[in-house]
Amino acid sequence: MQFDTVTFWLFFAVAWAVWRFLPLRAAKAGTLALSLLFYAWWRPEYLVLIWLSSFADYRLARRIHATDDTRARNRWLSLSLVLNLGLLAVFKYTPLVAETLGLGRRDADAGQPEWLANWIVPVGISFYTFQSLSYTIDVHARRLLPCRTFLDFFLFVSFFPQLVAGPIVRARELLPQLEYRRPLSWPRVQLGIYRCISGLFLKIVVADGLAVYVGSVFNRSHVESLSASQAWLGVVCFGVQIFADFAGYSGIAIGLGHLLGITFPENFRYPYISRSVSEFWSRWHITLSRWLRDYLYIPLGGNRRGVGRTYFNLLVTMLLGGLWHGASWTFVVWGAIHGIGLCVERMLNQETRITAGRDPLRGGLDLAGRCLRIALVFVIVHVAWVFFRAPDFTLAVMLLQRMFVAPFQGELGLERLSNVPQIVLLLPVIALHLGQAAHEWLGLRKSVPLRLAVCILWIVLLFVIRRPDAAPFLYFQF
Amino acid sequence: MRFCLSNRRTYRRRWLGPLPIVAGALGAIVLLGAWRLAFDRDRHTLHEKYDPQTMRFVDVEGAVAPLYLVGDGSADALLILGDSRASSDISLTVLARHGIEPAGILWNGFAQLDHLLRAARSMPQRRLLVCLSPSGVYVAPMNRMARILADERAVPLTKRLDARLGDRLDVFRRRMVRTLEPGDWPIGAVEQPRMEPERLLGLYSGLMGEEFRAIRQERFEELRRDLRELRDTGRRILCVRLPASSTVEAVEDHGFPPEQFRGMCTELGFPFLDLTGRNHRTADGTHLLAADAEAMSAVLADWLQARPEMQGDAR
Repeated sequence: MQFDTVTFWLFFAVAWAVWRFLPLRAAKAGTLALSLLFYAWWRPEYLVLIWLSSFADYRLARRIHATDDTRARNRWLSLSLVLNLGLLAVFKYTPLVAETLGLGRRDADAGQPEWLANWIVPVGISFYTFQSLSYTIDVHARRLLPCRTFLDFFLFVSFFPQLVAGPIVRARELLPQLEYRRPLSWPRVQLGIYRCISGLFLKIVVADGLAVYVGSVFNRSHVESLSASQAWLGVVCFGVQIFADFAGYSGIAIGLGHLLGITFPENFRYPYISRSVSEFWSRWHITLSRWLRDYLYIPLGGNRRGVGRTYFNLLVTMLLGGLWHGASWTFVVWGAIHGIGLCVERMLNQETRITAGRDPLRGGLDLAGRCLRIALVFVIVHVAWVFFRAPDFTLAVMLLQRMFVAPFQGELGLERLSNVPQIVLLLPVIALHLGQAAHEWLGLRKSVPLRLAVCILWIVLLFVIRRPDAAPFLYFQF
Repeated sequence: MRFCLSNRRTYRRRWLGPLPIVAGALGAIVLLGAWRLAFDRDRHTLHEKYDPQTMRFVDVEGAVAPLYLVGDGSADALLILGDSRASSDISLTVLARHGIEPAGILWNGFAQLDHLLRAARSMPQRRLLVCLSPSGVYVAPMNRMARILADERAVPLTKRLDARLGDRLDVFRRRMVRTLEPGDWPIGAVEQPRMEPERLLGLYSGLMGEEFRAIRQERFEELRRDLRELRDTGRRILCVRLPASSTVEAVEDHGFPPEQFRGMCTELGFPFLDLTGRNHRTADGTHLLAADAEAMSAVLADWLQARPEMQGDAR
């Protein structure tokens, strides 16, 4: 079931009533049943995978907690890791392995074996596997007590707002909120509705509206004829599309949480105003970055084992992060670009992690420097997006060639952009980023009346703009 | 992003209650009302008629291509059978305005008449308007259609339900306000327009080629037999030939003598309306521009209204 369907909102009305009005235990059981229905709407047979992963982790976590024998605890944790990562590897990476070993190519015209052509990656497997895995790791590290009942744990893993595309919630964030229902307040309801509407707007109007143009640019039969400006615009449109798509989905999930009385962690904070690659990762898919940081980078040694090892850890983390996004070597290259970016930044000692406080603006020079750095990060991130979106290296290289070489061959072709009305769909995302920048840099307060006006505008646009083709959320495939 | 949860102190008390939600809903209604007043919801786009209707896939035994039903599918409705021209050119709203309601259109791109009549036999409607066209008598089977049919059949029930509800919402809002269609926006010099007249003319020339003349005549005889059988089972049948551009009409007429349609209808006792040769303007060679489609629908509706076959209980 997708958030942008009428069916889902009818479903949510029932789920909301079940969660808010039934006695707590019945509400949990009812919400679990509805969450499983939510997943089964896609393919019921894959419910068994969630159940298997959840049941195993529930039992293993209890065993880990029950013993003080370190070797036994490590053994049970290893079993959990093998099981979860094994499921992920089998269901998600078999096509990649088969392709790499020459057992079949993914190209539809290359006549790959039928089993490979019909291979289906279970929706959301990367998300719920990570979520379930973090629970056993936390119990092993004695950061968390195991759940008392399987109902609680299964509900934590399969809770429908965040089941198929995150945010990746940790057990210690969500489990306590499932123990009792917090009363709903008007501000929370307002926030929930606002997040849902903004998420739907980003997905339906912006992401789906841009998808047609992006599809044309990342098309093998067109790429040779693109001018440099068209190639750049196509890649920027993809950057905006994937932001609108994923941030839209996360926003709706967070909004649904608010309407149910549950707080999910934030997943996006306007990433395209980042001044460094590390800042980008503290604004983009935040719950994944912190998962990779806490469960991969830090266990690998983080920055505590010398400079060389730090670079190595950064690269490994980002390569695996890239592979997490999809079973293709292009995703690995995408991760590698970000990993190298992080290493270079560290090397130059220029990382600028964002801080909670405001960064006072000191004159025009400061602003110019800031904009320059934002532009540099923007270019790096968008070069990486080429590998993320392109189906193979050939197309990615051809597109990069159009972006970087064509301008020097006199093929800038700015005049060809005059007939691309899709550009207007970039404006809402640009405005949102500028608003956030003004808030962070200049300390401008967020105003309720302004947000209300924006929200009304979004509702109207949602009503009057028809989506070209309802595409599934991009992150469902990861 | 914070809205007002963490900023309670900074916002006035009135913003912390239900006021923003009520104000938001009212504001959206007012703006949508203004939009409706400012932009005529019945204004046609250049390429598409503006007559939103729900559409559903109709699966019939022995189907070779998917068929879609637009509008009313009840037993007392007039069932219009045709290719994409029927769906694109005939406005059910105009028909209703002229008293022809309820009505539904069963169609598919390059739909074959034998296929449509086979489907009509399994449907409950007793009044049929058959849109005759030379390309509807016979064109070579299209693999693409078989593939779309297989895809349609493979759609699970849950997806079908999603699509049905989504379709209803879409039609509802298109009836309320004039919508914007980013899917139809040009995409610069990256891609060609979806279908230009020259390409379509080439396609028709190929489909109506000399090599199909014999088989088309054979199919025409089968069509005559099918229509007679349908008449004998109590269906009231009317026939119409829908227009296209003069060039496409010429290609079709060259591939199949159109007077045969009139002869068949006279023989079987079916009223026949020929709407070709009236120099209608088309968007791509075959589908009328919206204003012309509306005018043509009005002519068709008046003609239908005058037919005794349309009077009385349809059952």
